Amino acid sequence: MSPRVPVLFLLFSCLLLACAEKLPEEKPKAPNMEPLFQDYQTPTAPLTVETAPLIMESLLQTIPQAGYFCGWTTLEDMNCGTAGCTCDGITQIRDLLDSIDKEGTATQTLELEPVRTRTQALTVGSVEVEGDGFFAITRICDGGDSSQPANADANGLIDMILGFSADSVDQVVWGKFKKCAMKLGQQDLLIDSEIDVRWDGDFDLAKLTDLSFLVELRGTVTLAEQVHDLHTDFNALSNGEFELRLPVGEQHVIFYTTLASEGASALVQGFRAANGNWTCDFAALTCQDEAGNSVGW
Amino acid sequence: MRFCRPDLPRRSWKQRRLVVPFLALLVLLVSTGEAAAYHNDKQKVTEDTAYTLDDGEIRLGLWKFEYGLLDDLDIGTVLPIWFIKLANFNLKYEFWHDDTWAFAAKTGLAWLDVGSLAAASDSKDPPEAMFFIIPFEVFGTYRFTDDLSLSLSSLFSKVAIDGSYDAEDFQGAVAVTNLQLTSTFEWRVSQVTALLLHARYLTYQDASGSTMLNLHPDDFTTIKVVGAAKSDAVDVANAVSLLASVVFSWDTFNLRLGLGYGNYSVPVVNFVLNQKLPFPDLSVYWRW
Repeated sequence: MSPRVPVLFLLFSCLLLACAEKLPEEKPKAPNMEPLFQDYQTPTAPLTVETAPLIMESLLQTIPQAGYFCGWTTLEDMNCGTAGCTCDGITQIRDLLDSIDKEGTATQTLELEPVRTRTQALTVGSVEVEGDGFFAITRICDGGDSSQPANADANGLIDMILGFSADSVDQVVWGKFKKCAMKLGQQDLLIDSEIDVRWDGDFDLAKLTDLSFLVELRGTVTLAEQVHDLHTDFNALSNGEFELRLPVGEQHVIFYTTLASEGASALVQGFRAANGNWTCDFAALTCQDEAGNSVGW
Repeated sequence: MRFCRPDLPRRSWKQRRLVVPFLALLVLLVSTGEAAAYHNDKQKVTEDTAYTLDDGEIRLGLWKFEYGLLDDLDIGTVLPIWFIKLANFNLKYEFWHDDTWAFAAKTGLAWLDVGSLAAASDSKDPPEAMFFIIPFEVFGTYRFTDDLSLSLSSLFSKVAIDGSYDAEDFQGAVAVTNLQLTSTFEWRVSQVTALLLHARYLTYQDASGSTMLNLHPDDFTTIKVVGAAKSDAVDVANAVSLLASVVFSWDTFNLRLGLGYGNYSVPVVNFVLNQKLPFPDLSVYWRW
């Protein structure tokens, strides 16, 4: 017999068996936010008399950028109250994720059991999904007025992807604000930006406020017909603390804002630097570390 | 006198159009060719063994049609399921043999367009779904003596359904895969009679699938859920079956009769049922 016969038979068999199970759509690959996360764990620039002015300059440049997304404009009007600091943009993201857990207007229902130890069960209709997959969430922006009908052409969209696997919900949610007209704080904005969000904590759709969110934005924001650059990142922690990464040349420090104690009205603000944690009085232009050392500028 | 042909339903005429040439072919084939079906060294039982038909040999029965394309390569099809539009074919290749040992591999494909089947039955909203069955089996046969042989096989099957179950919002694909091990002991009592004892064991049977579902929790939000799933819910623990059969072979005509008990493996789909039940073995075919 010709040797072609066994070869062809084998190839034919392999072709048939190669019909491996795969998703109807390939699962998109999430961006890697670990380097940014590590930056927030390990500041590299020290706070010294020499670096203090550079750090303050970086803070004053960065605060408004994060403020576009969170709903403030200056250090003084950051939304920090008795429950900690809030960010309107993060509230929008939480609301978007929360929509996963709602019953739809269609007959299909979605049940997602709370994740305690990063395991999950997901029932979609009558099918139990236990493997890899993803949610692709699209929300039409409301233009600052949720009473108006949905109008994607006029108000833009938010597209986000949340992946999951057999063991857990994926830790990075990412997507785009596509010319999204919305109100954040008291400002009517048009955001056109990529967004990456890394959550931390026990993922539970019923308790999204218990999660910390590390956010990175890359795009633009239009405010009062003025287009501004929106390239920033920040960390909104579940305990109400808010952190901003401040570039200082090739290095960086972390600016933080929190409350002195639960129920207190005084904010505590300062820097986590390579040479320790510093609490600052910006009115007096001084910072003090845990050992009592002071730096002024 | 005038004889009027009754006004038969169109579907019945279609079936007649298939059956008549089928029978004609059968008669033609049976009336020609050499007698070739006695149990002997040249004509071996091919079912559940590593053996194949000879070059140009035909096996035609109520259940199967098989043809020896080459000395070691058969092509075949299961006939009755064509009537329910389950197209199918298989290839079996005996890749090695000597006087004592023989090894073969068999694969195939069956497919069904569920939508066209539903449309043919005037379904108002036929689903768009395709149904595939892909088996792959390897055989090994050892001949102790001219009259005694033992065959072992390993059968991997994949049954996949791919398509849209709900025209509006839901698509999915489901597959059931399983692995079965079989053994067949053959004793040629005479040139006409052979006794077979066939055992089957299910190693595993899993269901897996992928789904895509669109949800609309409110007027502003759409959520597309794309997921894969795997389940051992269709697995049957300790699934075994035993089948004792007699194969009578005459001139060209063969008759196989038997009775088995256990977890039945549904032919073609190779899906093993959950319950242990008695089941018959009946096959009528010609070889020449």
